[in-house]
Amino acid sequence: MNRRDFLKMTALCGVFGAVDRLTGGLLAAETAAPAVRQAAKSVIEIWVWGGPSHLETFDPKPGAGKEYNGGHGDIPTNVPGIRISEYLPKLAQQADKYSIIRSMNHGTNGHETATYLMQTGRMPGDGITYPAIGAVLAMLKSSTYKGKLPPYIALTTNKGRFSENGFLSDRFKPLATGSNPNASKFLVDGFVAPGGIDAEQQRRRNRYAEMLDTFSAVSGSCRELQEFEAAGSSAQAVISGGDAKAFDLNLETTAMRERYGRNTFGQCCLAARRLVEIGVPYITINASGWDTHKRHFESMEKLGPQFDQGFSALLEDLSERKLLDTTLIWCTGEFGRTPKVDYGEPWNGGRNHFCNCFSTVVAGGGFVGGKVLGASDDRGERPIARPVAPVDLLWSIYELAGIDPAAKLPNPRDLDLPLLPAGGGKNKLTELYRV
Amino acid sequence: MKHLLAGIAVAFALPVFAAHIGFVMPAGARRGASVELIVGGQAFGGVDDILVSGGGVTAESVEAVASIPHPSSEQRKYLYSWLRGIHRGDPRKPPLPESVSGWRPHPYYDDPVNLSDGERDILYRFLFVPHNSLQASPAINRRVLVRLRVSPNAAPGEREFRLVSHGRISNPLKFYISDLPEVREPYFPMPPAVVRPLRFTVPSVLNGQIMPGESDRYGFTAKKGEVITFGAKARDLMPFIGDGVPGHFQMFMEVLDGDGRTVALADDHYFDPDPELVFTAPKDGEYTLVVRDALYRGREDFVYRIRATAGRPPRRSLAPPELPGVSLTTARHLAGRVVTAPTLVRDILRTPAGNRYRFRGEKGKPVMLEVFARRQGSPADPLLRVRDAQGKLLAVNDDVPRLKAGVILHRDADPCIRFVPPEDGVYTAEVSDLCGASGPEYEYFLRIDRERPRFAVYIIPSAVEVNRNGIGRATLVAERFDGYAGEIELTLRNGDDFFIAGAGSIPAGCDRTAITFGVSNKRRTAPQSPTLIASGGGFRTTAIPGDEMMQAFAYTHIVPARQLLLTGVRTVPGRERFTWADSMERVSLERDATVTAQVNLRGVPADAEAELVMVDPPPWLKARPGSAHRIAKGTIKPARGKGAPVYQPLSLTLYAAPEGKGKAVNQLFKIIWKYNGRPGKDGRARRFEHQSFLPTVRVEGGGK
Repeated sequence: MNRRDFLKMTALCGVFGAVDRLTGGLLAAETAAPAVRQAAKSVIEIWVWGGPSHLETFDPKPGAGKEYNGGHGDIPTNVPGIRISEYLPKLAQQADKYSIIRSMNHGTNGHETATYLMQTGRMPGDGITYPAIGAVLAMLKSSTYKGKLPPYIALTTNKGRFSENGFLSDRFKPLATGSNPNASKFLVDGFVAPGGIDAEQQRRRNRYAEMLDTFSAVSGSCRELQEFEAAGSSAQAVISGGDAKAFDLNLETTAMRERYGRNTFGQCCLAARRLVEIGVPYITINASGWDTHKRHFESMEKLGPQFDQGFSALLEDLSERKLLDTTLIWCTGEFGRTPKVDYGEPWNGGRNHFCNCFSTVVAGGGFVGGKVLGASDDRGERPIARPVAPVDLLWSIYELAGIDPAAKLPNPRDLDLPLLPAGGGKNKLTELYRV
Repeated sequence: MKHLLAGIAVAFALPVFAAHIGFVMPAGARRGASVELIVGGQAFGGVDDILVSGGGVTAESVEAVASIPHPSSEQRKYLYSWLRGIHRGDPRKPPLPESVSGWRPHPYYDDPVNLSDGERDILYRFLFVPHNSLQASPAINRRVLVRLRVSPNAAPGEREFRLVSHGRISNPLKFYISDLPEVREPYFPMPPAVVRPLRFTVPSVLNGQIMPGESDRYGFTAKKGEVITFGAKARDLMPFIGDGVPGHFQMFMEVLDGDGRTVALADDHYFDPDPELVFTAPKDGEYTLVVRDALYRGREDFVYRIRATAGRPPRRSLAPPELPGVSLTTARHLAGRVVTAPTLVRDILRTPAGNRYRFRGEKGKPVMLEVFARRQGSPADPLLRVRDAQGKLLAVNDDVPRLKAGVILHRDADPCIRFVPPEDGVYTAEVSDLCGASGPEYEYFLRIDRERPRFAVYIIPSAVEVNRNGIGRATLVAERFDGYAGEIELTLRNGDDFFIAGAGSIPAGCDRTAITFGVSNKRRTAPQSPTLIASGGGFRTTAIPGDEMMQAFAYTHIVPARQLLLTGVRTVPGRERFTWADSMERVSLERDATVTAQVNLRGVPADAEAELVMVDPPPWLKARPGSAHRIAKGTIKPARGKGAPVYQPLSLTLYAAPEGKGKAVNQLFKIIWKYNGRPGKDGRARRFEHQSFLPTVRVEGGGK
């Protein structure tokens, strides 16, 4: 870190320190307020980035013809009456553990706006950048979370700026692990010293850095600087502490790693399970490659099996470890894909963005399994029953995580901002709540 | 069976799809010249001819470029050394290394010395432009080299270029015939610091192609005070790119002086993304014109033409909109008098305050106030207000959402108000620019008129293939104006062998529907260019042929073409096998109705199966589940040999959902037809699937 970076960092600490004091005061009041339910201790968000086709995942249309289904059909699940895409045979055997919402919809086909909407329940444009659900949950669960790792972890990258903390403190920004969990060693960004130096070498380096840090010595009473140093000490504690072992997937058996699938998505799911075990409140798996404008079905040949294996193993594993009841999983993209296959150029059998109707899956943490909520028409082009908006879904996730979605969201300007727009809970997913 | 197999053989000798063009480089040629073009696209199998509108342009040769294999790094280094030598004027083949094991053969690799300019361009780009998977597109990864000759008498101007493959016609791209010297950017990968600009003299047309991160450089000499206009065509050539954001080549041009300083630049021309750069030389000297994408993107379809001419561009006066029966006048001629409808006023926003027009209104009688500015090419973004005699604001509008047809991105920018006067009296219409802009180029037309119900009809695609054993299908899109909601009758003129098969009108209230064509001549003939006349409510117009293009993954536009082409092809094997069983012109769904098609079973294999289905029905039109009477696999007792047709029916029972009451559509049906081909070497027969379309049927939802 050079002098310029250091000064920038201390300035930021000052700003966000002020925000922290503000949120800290309100947080106590908020968390003491009407905690509606307390089921989910951790939340895993499987973000199928780019927008998965609902027809090739959880809302197949075998009768719609090749122009819509590309010649691909459906298969039965272990829940009578529920059929999902033939691309997902392993998930079909776990259908009793999750529920499908087949009538998700919103009005925007742009990745960025749709992601923001799905993450915050709001359309952008009112001059305020709201935090993503992960940052909100990380903040509101921080009083009960005692782990050393950050409370909000993204495997392995952020969704651009859309998994961000908005106006909340940078403490609730996601830690994006980077690297590849499917590599022989999962080298989490910032947790592994460069050049293969060992722990003792790192400690010596830190001591030398402190010796050279004469600025701290002369400004010892500066509160912002103290906060900065405390953050640094916390980071050191994380790196050298036992919680960091959650990222060491080599501690799992080979069979377990194989069970999840030896690919990035599968090993992200395994890492998510390990993070849940140590109580991390919010984990997001950002699965990329689903923006299948071109040659959609060729892409699905790779994406489908990896998604099927990783997600199904996660459900089964959490269930076997009795963690599914306290771990809420939601799996969605920012939208679905056009039900009608575009065989023209330049798409050559592709599907484009489609916000009018798509599917989301919820599991565990207070949601029941083995149900289907809502329905789409016979081509998957529009909801014909129980339309669900992003705010309805987020409202339910907050509630099942023990947070009142109508409560005031702490913010630096002390504006009257609820977690979700007022009245957003009218269509919450009570049909899927475990009673 | 013999006939069927013969038919299959023919069908598979033909390309499955018509060729699709993604770029033509260069996108123009000079009169009297013979030019080599690189055409990129897909489905180029069987391409053997070109079709250029307007006459005077013929193909001397059309040659498909075989796929070029990726060389090993050693082979690449060797080729680079050889090509660099050729570029420097030393074509000698460098000595081969001891081992060339694993080197990939290709005619271009074997003899790069004797390649044509186009072939060498293709090879250079293949070898030396880094592959970017984000920018790569299968839609432009095939190449055809076309040598064409332009007659000295060919009319200069805009044309349409298409490829022809066994009678099938591709989409069109713009192609220009010029009367100026044409300069073509020779592609060779060199660091920018050592690239010498390609020299040209004014006037010339510069042709080039921008690859990722690339800037093209052209050198010229100018004297102090000399004015040169560089008019670019980039987005004009490829108005919408589906798999790119913002969905077109956003060209940036700048002029550098001898010291490398920027002395002029342009990246647009008012609202037109294609820039026009008017350069006045500050001193005598050498200058360089630099051309690139504003975002440093690039791909083979980032093709451009720049017309470099002396002097300032001529002042262009806007063409008035076509409004039969509305007299055109100028504001000066009006001289502040009360305007009498119907009138079309030509005027200019000379000041930010805008212009005012008084018109007489009768209580309750609608007056149409419509500004034509952006649509006619004006830079103005007009705002229209209506006030009463006391100055009270009664109506205001700045744009009206319109059908995405045409290549102007801001078609919605023109305002329109249907004003119903609350009292008899004189009212004022005010026209100003939304941003307060003004100037002599801010020209527009204001229509003060009664309601004039009319419409525009587009037919998509512009080249319709008509199966000589069946029909051809296209889509009609109607844009209705001034409240016209009635039926639109359709007539095909100068179609010769072609005719409208099935429903011959666009139903009232319907804006998008199908049309089908038949052809009486069963032999292969040259494409014909008929006219589709649309009429209704006393109004008559010619349908505009067009092709749909997507912009930036999201928005679909209808891009007008210069001519409608109908061509007879054989896409389905065998004789006329699929027809309607009864006269199926019109079906009313007051109650369930069954539509019945028939399949001629003569010569059909026993393992065939067939099903009748609707194509993209509106949400209110449905088939009764389980009502389809289909031909199941193994149920056919085929009739062998020649003889009278042996028909078997296929039926489907339709019903209208309640929201379909009062609605109608020209519904397209198809028969999905599957059968086994001949066994392959492994003894297994591949199962084929064909779709055969039937003439459209007018389906009415019942009720009013």
